[in-house]
Amino acid sequence: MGSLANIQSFWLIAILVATLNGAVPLVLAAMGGILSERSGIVNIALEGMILTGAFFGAWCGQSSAAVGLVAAIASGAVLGLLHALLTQKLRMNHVVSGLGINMLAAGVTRYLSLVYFPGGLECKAIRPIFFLTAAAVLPVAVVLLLKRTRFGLRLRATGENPESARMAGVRVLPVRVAAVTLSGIFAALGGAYLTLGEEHTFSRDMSAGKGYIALAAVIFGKWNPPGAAVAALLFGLFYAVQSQMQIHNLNLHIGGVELTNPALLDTLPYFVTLIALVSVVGKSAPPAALGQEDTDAS
Amino acid sequence: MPVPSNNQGKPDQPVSSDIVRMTGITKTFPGILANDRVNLNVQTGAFHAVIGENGAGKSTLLNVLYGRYSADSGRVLVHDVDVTHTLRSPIDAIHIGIGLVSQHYALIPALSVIENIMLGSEPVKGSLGLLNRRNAIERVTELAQQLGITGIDFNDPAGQLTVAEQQKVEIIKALFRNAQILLLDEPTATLAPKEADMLFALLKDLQARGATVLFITHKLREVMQYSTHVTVLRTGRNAGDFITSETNADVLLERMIGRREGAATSKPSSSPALVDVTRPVLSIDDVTIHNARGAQAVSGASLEVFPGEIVGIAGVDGSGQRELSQAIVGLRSVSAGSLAISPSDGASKPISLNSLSVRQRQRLGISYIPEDRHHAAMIMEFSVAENYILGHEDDKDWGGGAIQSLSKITEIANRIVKNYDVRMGARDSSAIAGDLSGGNQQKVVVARALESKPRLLVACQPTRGLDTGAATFVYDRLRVATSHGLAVLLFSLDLDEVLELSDRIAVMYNGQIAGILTRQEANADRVGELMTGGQPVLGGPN
Repeated sequence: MGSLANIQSFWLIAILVATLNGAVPLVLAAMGGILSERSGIVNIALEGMILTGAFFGAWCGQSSAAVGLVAAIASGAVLGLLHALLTQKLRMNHVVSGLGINMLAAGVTRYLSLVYFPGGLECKAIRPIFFLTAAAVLPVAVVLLLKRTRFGLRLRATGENPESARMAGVRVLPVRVAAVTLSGIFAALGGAYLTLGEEHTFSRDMSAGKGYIALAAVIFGKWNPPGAAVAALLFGLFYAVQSQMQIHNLNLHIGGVELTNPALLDTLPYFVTLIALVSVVGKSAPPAALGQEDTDAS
Repeated sequence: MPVPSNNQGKPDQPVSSDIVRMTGITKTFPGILANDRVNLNVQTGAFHAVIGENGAGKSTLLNVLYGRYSADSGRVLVHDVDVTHTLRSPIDAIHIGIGLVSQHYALIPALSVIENIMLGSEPVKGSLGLLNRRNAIERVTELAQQLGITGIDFNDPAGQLTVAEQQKVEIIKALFRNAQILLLDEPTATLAPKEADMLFALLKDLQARGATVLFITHKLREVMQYSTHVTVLRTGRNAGDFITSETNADVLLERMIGRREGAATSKPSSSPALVDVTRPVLSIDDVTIHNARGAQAVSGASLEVFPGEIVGIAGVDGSGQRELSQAIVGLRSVSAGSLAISPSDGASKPISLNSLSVRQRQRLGISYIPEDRHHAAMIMEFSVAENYILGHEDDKDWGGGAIQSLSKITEIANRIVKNYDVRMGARDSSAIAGDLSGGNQQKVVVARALESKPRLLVACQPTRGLDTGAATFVYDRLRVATSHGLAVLLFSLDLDEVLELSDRIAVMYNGQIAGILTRQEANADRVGELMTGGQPVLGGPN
């Protein structure tokens, strides 16, 4: 009897740890996504930012984890600035710019890892509690930033109506550049967790759609930090369920279909994301000027 | 009496009582000379009106002064300081004490009122830039008290305010930035008459406290009643500066429009129809309509429109007019009640419109002039001819099916273009619609609506943004068509237009038809009273 209770509590703890494990990068990237999108810039580049953060975290973190962390953050900031430059100065469609950055990130990290680290890229470790704390604090910090600070008010205003903000005396461009740069930093921090915090090694395309799922969490949370964080936890739970089912080698069949087929299980988080998004479509109100070209009058 | 003009080329710091001196302002947009060497001098403490028809360059001039546009040439002096090269953005304008009360770039609905007011000039505490919301609320409350503005909760989302309340908030917003010069662009365009009077009372109060007010309008009544000085613009040029007490409305009107354009005389090509004027063409019976957000926009409205009459729908913007017009043409469904049109063949039973598509309603003789020319009425990238057949692609005149005769379309469109006096330089109907002026675009829309020989025309804001010449043309065409039996339902926010054209006026208030007046019963006061629910507007001075 006692051993059964032990097994149950072991399971529970395993699921909890795996949930947090899956949710941490999602929460960090989702907070980045909120800052970008609340300022009016669609950011599907989260995916590429996570991947880049993971790679540079590992590369520069071979001898010192702290250096790796700084490098990851810097790489995210650069991609954020690039996204801001493409969308705000060169007036590129936000989704096209984001796709381009994702392809760039996938290509560059793959090339560098193949050329310089054909035998694998191993790095030092940062204790996961650091990232966990960041993921716990950041949603609160973002709420305070948006609601209680001058920068947050201006950020929200530019996302709702950049022309109104400009007429009220706000310089829209610096606000948006800052928002997207912060977005890149947070997403890259999520990426750094994958290498420095979790795997201690870089593998190609290891972001595996986490940026898109983080963006789904943003939408599911209606562009509010607490909601997005809860959504990220929910998606993390399904990562956990999926991995636990694989670890314990459960075997479920319905009809001729093996439900616990690893390939099928891998789709679980994405499938749940899809269901979650469909269920909030039409009910969520994005920032009014999200993704629109800012017709700067001058 | 002309105000002293042009001191271009003289050294800086002319001693004057003028708070604003704009000299020789020229501003061009691609293909348009919006301001042509315009001078504007505003005395400190004046209540200065800038008047002119649409397209006269009033808004451009105001935007140059607010730093949104930089002029191609000319000088701007504010407080006797040359700011020509330093006035580059609204931020610079705010710094030198200029505030704008704007219709188009007004408040952000999703932000609270207080957030809107302090945006860009936020009081902060600490080095982290924390908002000092309490300080902002205190200052705003004090300003509101001084101005006698009550009934606005500054923590509410700005989107919940009425248009009149939003305007008051915009004024507070300008004063919050210590503006001494208030710019207003058509401030009463969307206000009921009583609200407009209250707005001007508030502005006069500000003037008495030392503010300078500069406002744009095309309503001569406002100019004569409230302003101290007037500058008239016509086609981008100065057309006279006056002291209001030394001039009159006739003089101003003449300066505004110059030589009157001849009214159109050509008749529409439709022949007089034999119609039974005792049976309504359109019967609206107790309809309830929901808007896009699911809120009830029209409730229990009933109205009949008879052949040969123009029924004007008046009301403050957002009283349900838009939803009602959309429901009639088939763009929005009714939640309750019925819409019916009389059959064209003289059969006795009216045909219910409720479940019919836009195209089916068109075939029953309903025609439509949408209110938004740019987004709903035309495709600006298409040619005039293509726009002319839009919605009538299957008309037998140009083939009636999958294959259209391009030569037929061009021939017919060219003829229509000539009949409706659409001017587009040397080009024929293959000209791109977006290259035409607003007035000429609207003539194409009106031609399309009338040439399909409708029995009911739903005309929404048919002359918005048009100059007097083009508007007169549209009026004439509507009158001629009604004399041939057309029933017109005219939705307009311009009360003067409704009063001038309508045989009967239905006034909407809060989604209901508050009253129906005949031409004899109607005047601006009575309609205005119904527009505001017969209640005095809250929150004004006194």
